[in-house]
Amino acid sequence: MARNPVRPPDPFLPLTPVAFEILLALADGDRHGYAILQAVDAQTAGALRLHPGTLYRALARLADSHLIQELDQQPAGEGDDERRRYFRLTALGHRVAAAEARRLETQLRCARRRRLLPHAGPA
Amino acid sequence: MRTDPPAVRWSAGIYRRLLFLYPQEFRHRYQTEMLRLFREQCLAQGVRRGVSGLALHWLGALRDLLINAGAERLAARRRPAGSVPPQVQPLPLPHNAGARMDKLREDIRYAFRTILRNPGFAAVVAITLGLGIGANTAIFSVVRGVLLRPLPYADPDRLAVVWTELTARNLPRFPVSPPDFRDYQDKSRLFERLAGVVTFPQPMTAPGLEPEQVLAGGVTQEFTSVLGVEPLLGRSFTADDVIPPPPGIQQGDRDAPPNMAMLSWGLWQRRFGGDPGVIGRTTEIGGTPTVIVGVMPRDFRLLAPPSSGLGANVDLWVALRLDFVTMPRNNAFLRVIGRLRPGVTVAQAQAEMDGVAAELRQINSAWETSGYRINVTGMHQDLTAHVRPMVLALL
Repeated sequence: MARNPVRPPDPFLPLTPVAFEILLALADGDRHGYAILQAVDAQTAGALRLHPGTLYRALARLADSHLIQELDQQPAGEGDDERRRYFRLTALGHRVAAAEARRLETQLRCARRRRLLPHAGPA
Repeated sequence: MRTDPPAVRWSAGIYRRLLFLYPQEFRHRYQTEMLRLFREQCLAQGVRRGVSGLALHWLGALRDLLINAGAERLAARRRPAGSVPPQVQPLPLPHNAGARMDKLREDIRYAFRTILRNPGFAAVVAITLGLGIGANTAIFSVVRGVLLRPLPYADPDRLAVVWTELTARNLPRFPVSPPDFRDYQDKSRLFERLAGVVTFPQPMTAPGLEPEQVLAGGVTQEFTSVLGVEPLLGRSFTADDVIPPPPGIQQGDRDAPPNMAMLSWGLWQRRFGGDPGVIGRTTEIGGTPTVIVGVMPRDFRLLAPPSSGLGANVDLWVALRLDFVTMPRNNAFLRVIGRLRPGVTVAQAQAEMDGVAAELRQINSAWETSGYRINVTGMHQDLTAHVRPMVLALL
């Protein structure tokens, strides 16, 4: 579990776009590097294409900040290749990602009020 | 076990060596994963987009490598021994421009100190950057030279090539007969001018000169005006130069009128020593007396794709004395170029020539059975069509 369960998310904000996308990709479950890359590619519709250096530097920073953790063992059901390094979102990482999403939502509302964006229609 | 394609294997090998640009600590932590991810991306890009996808991926990966390896090395230098790496926090916003400049100066000083302390790393970065920039420049030079540079003619965007196609005989680039060419000229309203060209080797003899095999370009009168080029010396062809011999007389007979020719700059220099008095002299081309009426500019060449069958280095241009009325329609040997009227698109010209082709199919039953079509292509596009995919793949 998270090493800093009561640590507030605010000092981490705003996140860089790469960091935020990685946290979003891990919100669904544990993933290895290539799976994270594919998830980011899918959730940004190809707008953010990560290369190994950017991805693993960001993963290193996120792990060092305890927003994610590297797993010693691969998750159950992922029997394809035990040499892969898997990453998991920590509780702190979850709070930070949620806080960043709220921050962006506030900005989005502001942009809509100022008519930079159309108002969202009914779902 | 699956074997990677050679291009992917080589790419992975090079990338593995380039990973040494990262600090040791970072490399030990992620090298295997990064290499695996790079290889998987290479495979995905290679499968999806072929060589061009792999090349694009390499460009992105090199940029990624240089930026991140450099940043990681700087971070490792700044980090006190045993300290925890910096957290994922945004950089504080500078309070004012002065602070920004101070920070920039500090960074530049630090960068120079780092270079001096690590000349090997700096050399690898410089060489990698140099290779990357050099490769990009070379590729773009090819793209610019081949695909982007305009043709060396006046108003080149209005130049088009007119091909005939015999679809039932699978002949996509069939030449045009003189009577069909005359019909193109008569029926088309969207072409300002059309010209016919054919090249053929001929022996050239002249008093006091060694005989020489030359490449002659037989052209209709409109040739120079279609390309928008004027002779360096003398004059272009006139209507009198292309009048066919009287009935019963063949070109080359004693009573036939002489041919008129314009020399290329190269032949003028080589055979006539660049003598301006060459205008009006008579030589024999293929046994036919030929009067030299002009000399073309030094850089003039007729650009044509290999599939046209036209020779690349024409030595002299001869005005063809063609009988457009009596020659059979199946005697096809001309290649046709045209100048579109201002504002006319290739698509509009194509639509017009579709109508001309339909009329010619009705006139000539051989064209009807062989699926005669007329295809209009922009001259630049026609010239670059066969190399465009290869050049774009380099990008």
